[in-house]
Amino acid sequence: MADTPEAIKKATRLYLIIGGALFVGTVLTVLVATVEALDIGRHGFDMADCILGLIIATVKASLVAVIFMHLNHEKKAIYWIFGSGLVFVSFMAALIALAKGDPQEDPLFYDGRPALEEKAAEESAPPVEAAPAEVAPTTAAQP
Amino acid sequence: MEIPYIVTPRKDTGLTNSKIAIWLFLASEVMLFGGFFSAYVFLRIGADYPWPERTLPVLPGLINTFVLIGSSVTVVFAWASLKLRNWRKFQLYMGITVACAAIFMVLKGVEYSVKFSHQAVRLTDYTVLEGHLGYELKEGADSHHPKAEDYEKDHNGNKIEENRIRVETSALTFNTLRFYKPWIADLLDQAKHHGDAKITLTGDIKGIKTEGGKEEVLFKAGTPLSVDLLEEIQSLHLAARSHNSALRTAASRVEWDKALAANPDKQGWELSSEVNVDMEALKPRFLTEIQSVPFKVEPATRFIFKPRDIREAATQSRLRDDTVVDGKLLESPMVFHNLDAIDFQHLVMKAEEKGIDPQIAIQNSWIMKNSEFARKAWEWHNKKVEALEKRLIADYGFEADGKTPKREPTHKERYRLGWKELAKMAEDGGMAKLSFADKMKEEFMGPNYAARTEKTFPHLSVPREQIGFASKFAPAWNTYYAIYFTITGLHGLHVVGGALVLAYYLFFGRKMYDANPEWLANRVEVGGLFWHFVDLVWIFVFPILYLM
Repeated sequence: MADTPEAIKKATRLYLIIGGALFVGTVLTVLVATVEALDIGRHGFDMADCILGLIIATVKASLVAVIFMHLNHEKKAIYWIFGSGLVFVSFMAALIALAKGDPQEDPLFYDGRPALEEKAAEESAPPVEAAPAEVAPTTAAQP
Repeated sequence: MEIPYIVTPRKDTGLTNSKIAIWLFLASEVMLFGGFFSAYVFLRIGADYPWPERTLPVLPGLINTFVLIGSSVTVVFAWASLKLRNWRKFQLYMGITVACAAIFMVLKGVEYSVKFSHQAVRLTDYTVLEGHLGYELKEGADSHHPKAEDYEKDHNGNKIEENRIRVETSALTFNTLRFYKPWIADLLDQAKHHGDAKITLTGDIKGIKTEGGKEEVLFKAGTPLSVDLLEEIQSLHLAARSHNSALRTAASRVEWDKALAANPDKQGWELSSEVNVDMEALKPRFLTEIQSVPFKVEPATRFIFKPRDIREAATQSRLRDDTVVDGKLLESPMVFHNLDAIDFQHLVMKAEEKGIDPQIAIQNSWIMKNSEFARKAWEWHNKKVEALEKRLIADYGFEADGKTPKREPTHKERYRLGWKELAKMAEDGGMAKLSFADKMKEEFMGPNYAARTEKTFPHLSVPREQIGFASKFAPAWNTYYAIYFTITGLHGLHVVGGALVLAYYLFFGRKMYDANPEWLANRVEVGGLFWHFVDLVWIFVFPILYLM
């Protein structure tokens, strides 16, 4: 960490540059979202805009974390602490993948499925009456 | 007591304890906000209504981003000034940081208050209307030029929005246990003022007050409604209920004891079918429970309720405290003093689900059939969309198949007439011209009804039966606003908390600085770490909630 007066003076210049970069990044975020000429992908908001916006935001956030929060030269313990927080967050975010099978994504979930099942039942051969199996009593009979 | 390792680092970690502590806290904060962002994604992909894309005012959000980034720079400068032992500069930079926090919260407060006073309603055909409601006037007041004293006021002295339910009430039935006392006084007040009506017991309330006693008239028909009367009935009801349940419990115990004695080798659960309490035998000993108390209103009188307090229906409505209100539902429109948006996105979504042509669904909507303004606006809007469609094809051309345009107007551009479009329409028609200052104000405060008048944002009265769901732009309106208020509210609390800590160093740090400047520098670094984190969260909040 910058501890000598010279190093700190040098670091303040870096802070100003990073501050400027964050301002530029913010303007860029707004421009790509509002100016048609800079709109990537389809017209209006879409996945491409989402990814681009998140990339800019992540770069900005990394600058804050690395330079302002001094993560570029920090002790090991801090990396472990913060890193484990990030691991849990990514695990939580990964749970979103479970939403793939949600009813909203399955048009047959509410209305179609019973009909499909009925149809399948009709098509399959009438069920063969299974002979009642001799099931051995699981518990010994009480006298 | 001296706290160890707050100035000099611990040997094993190489860090001061306070720094370890703040990073542990920040790690937990990452998980907290990460959870809410995940919730946002879940809500968005699972939304069964058109997600409000890019719906918040960008300018205040942008300024707030600048303000937070700026304060992040100044807080690190404040720390550097302490390291260089320059108290004056520390004060300057820390002062700017705290001022930035104040600016942020003021802008946030404006944003919130605009939302909380902006009304939205979803009609039963899924058209969404937005705007400002009018206020109730006193009877006989001049509705065109109302003076301040012409408005009706509620018990807090606030004006009352024109969004109330009126019922020509002939009878009220109170739930003995759940009736809400302040409403009784209000009902009596309304009865007196709206027609000098009397609210009295419909019939005699008969019952048995003591065990084995005779049925007698407890309350005579015609007794006027009062809180005391209801409370008396309530206490009788409660006494009877506890008496009766005690009897039932005692009888049940006797039966259980009998069954257990007769079957010593069986478990309790095996006996439940053999335990039967003879209720008929108990009945003569029961006291009368009075579940509800019917009153009649003579003559039938108009009662007025807030929409949130009543579930209204044509002939019988129900209040939130379970009071049944018998009577005809009178005209109870929701009156927009200024309508500032007509949104067909949800209606079109529902139409497409059913395979109906969106344009036909829109033409058949209530607003298009009943509002000349809506028809005119929609015609104007369609021309604009057509022009946009043509321009996009001219600018970007078609896909390889030669038929599909590369770029098309979005769902929102096609089917939503927001306040900016309505304002544009009026300006095109030469109706309203606003100064630059007024326009800038609109970027923060939303549509300026006073300057643009009802020529731009017309009056509209929505009949009660057309209303599907209505709310201010509050968390209740939809899941987007719910998560928006949750995330930004939580973030705002962090801003306030961080600013308080930093302001403490600014105003009360001198003593610590004199005693041991390194100690204060370490503290400011820790406070600064939190402040950077608050900035870092906002860096994600701004694009996700405002621009996506």
